[in-house]
Order: sequence, then C-alpha cells, then structure tokens
Amino acid sequence: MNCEQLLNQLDDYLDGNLSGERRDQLERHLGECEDCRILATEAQEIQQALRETPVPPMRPGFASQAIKRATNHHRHHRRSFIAGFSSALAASLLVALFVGKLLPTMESTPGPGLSPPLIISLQQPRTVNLVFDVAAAMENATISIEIPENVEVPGFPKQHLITWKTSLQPGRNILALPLRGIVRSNSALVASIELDGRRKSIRIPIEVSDKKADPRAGLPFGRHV
Amino acid sequence: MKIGIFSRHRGTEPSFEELVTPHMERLYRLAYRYSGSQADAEDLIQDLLIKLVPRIDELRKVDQLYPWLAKALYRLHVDRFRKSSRNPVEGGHDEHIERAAGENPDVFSPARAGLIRDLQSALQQLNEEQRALIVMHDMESYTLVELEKILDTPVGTLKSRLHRGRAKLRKLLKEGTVSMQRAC
Repeated sequence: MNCEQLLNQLDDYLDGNLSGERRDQLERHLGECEDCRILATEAQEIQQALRETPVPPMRPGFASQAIKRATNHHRHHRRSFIAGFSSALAASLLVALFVGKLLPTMESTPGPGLSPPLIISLQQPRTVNLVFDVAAAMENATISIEIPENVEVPGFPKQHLITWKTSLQPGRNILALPLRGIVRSNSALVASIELDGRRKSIRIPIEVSDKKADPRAGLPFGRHV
Repeated sequence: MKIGIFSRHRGTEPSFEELVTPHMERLYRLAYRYSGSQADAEDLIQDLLIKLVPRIDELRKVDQLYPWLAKALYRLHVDRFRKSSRNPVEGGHDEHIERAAGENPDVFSPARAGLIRDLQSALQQLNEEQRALIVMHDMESYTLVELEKILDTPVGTLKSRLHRGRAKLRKLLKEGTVSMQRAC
C-alpha cells in the first residue's frame, strides 16, 4: 500500500469498515510511514473529539410544552379561520350549503353555469361566508374545501384541498373563508361535508378579475344539493 | 394535497403527541448540533412541530418515522440557514463546552476541550452539506445507509462528501486557520 491508497481508505479505517487483509495492509503501511501515521493519529483524535462534543440535555418539560404549543397554535388558527356565527354577515358574500338530511349518495354536484360566478379581485383578499345549514347536530363531520388554482387562502399558499373534522350545531354554521385571486381566470370552488361515508357538495363558480366585487353578490345564492 | 388542519384524535389512531414524543430527544440533539445553542435548537424544534401538526395523517402512514422527521428537521434547518446571514453555530457551543470540561475533567482534558472548541469553529467553515453530514455521521453516529434516506443522497455521494469534509477539517486545524480566526 502506498500513501495515496492509504488516504483513500482512511475513512473506511476510521469508521471500522476495513476488515481482514485490507486493514492489515493499511496498518502495515502505518508502521512504515511516519507521515501517514501522524495523519491517521490526528484523524482519529478529530473523530474522537467530534463524538465527545457535548450536547446539553433537553430542558425538562420542553418536549411536552413544544408539542402542546404546536397543537394549540393550530387550534387558535382554527378559531380565527372559522369565524364567529354573527360577525360581518351583512357585509360578506354568502354561499349556502343546505344540508337538510344527508342522502345516501356519495356526491351531488350541480353542473357549472347554474349560478352567477363569485367575483374575486386580483390580489385583494375577500371573505366568502360558507353557510352550512344543518337540520341536526353533526358530530365529527368532515369539511373539505377544494380551492381552484386561480385563488388561494391567505396563509395557505399552494394548498388546494383543505380538509378537517369538526362538529356542526343545528341551524346555520358559518365558515368565513378568505380568498385572494392570483390568476385572472374562471374556475369553481367545491365545498363538501361528509359524515359516515355520505357526502354533500356545492360547486361555486369563481371569476378572478380586475373588476371590483359586485355588491349584489352579498345575497345568498347557494342551492340545495 | 390533504391538509388535516383541524384533525382530531380519532379512535385508535395515534395522536400527534404519541407519534412525535419518542423522537424528541434525538431531534433535539440534531437541532442543537445544527444551531449551536439551546434557544435556537428549541426554536427549530418548535417550528418543526408547528409545521408537522397539519400533516398528522401523513405522519400516521410513515413506516419509519424517525428518519422522516430527521429529514424534515434538516430541510427546515437548511431553509432557515439560507434565509439567515448568521452562521448558526457561531460561538454557541463554547459556554457548554467549558461547563462540560469543568464537570468532567477526566474526559475533557484542556487539550481535548481546546480541540473541541477549534472543531466547532472549523465546522463553520465547511459548506452546509459537509457540515450536516459530519454532524450526523461523526457526531451523532448515524450510518451512511440511514443518512441516505434522511439526506436523500446516495451512499457513494455521501462517502465522497464525508471524505472531502473530513479532509478540510484536518487542513483547517493543521494550518491553524481556525486558531488564527479565533484570535481575531
């Protein structure tokens, strides 16, 4: 073995990955070559020092506190995401999803063009209130919002399916959904509610344009689906 | 993409806490190695957890969760490192090394403590890929096979990177570059 070969195999030697004849050859060379012996000794000292570099122990209680803070962070986000049931209704767009009694169908989506499109201004966030009007309390229902490519929810960039579980009270449950236009085009947002494998959806045509939002859109135009 | 923002603990499925708690100690060690201080390590872990909560459904499906978490931590660290002009390990280890040397004089001789301090400075002069590899392989004893998953890099490439990183560390220490810089 020469010095260059030793240098090429030094990492394997340091990591204990050389066995048998290869290790014997390397160690024979170390016995004969002072430069390589010094190099290998220094390298071993560095490896040992790296392994011994201390890490202070994790602060007691940090793990559980950090996990709690992380989960609470998202609970708080939910509270601000699902707005209160009374605020700003008059000023907001309303889209209603009436769920009288869930039918045993997987999905019922009206065809496009049956409702006038919601106008969302380019880069101007606007709140759309989705009304989930349910006849009876629904525990552990899954809400899904399919967000088209031409809009986004501020704070959730590039996320086009938002889904979560929640409980709905009898009557009108309102989800305040902020939307911002990002590409000038037409599309549709689909809001769904699912319970025990049954699903109801509403398709909401959306137009992103430079136009200001039509105040008449403040009228509910959702449909029974 | 499914984002279970408001997912709740359902039935027998493990909660977020049950999933991540067994890995917190190892993640913290890595975060400390990356960031160089307890406060920054805690910040990094906190940010990671906040980003992971909405991905709980994804976490539940992962067979080997720790490598997956370590990869997420590494990516987050690199992302923060690139956005920040501050070197993450600048000076952060010194106080802890002094304390450890004081508490364990048999293990940390003055010469060894000095070498460890110089190594911390030398590590700062490696590129981020080399530094992360030496942190995980040489300091935290991850195998190259484990790191292949965590770093999404073939073992052969990791071996070459490790070779260059170690050679640079030796060169920096031998030339005294580190000591000179520390004196400045």
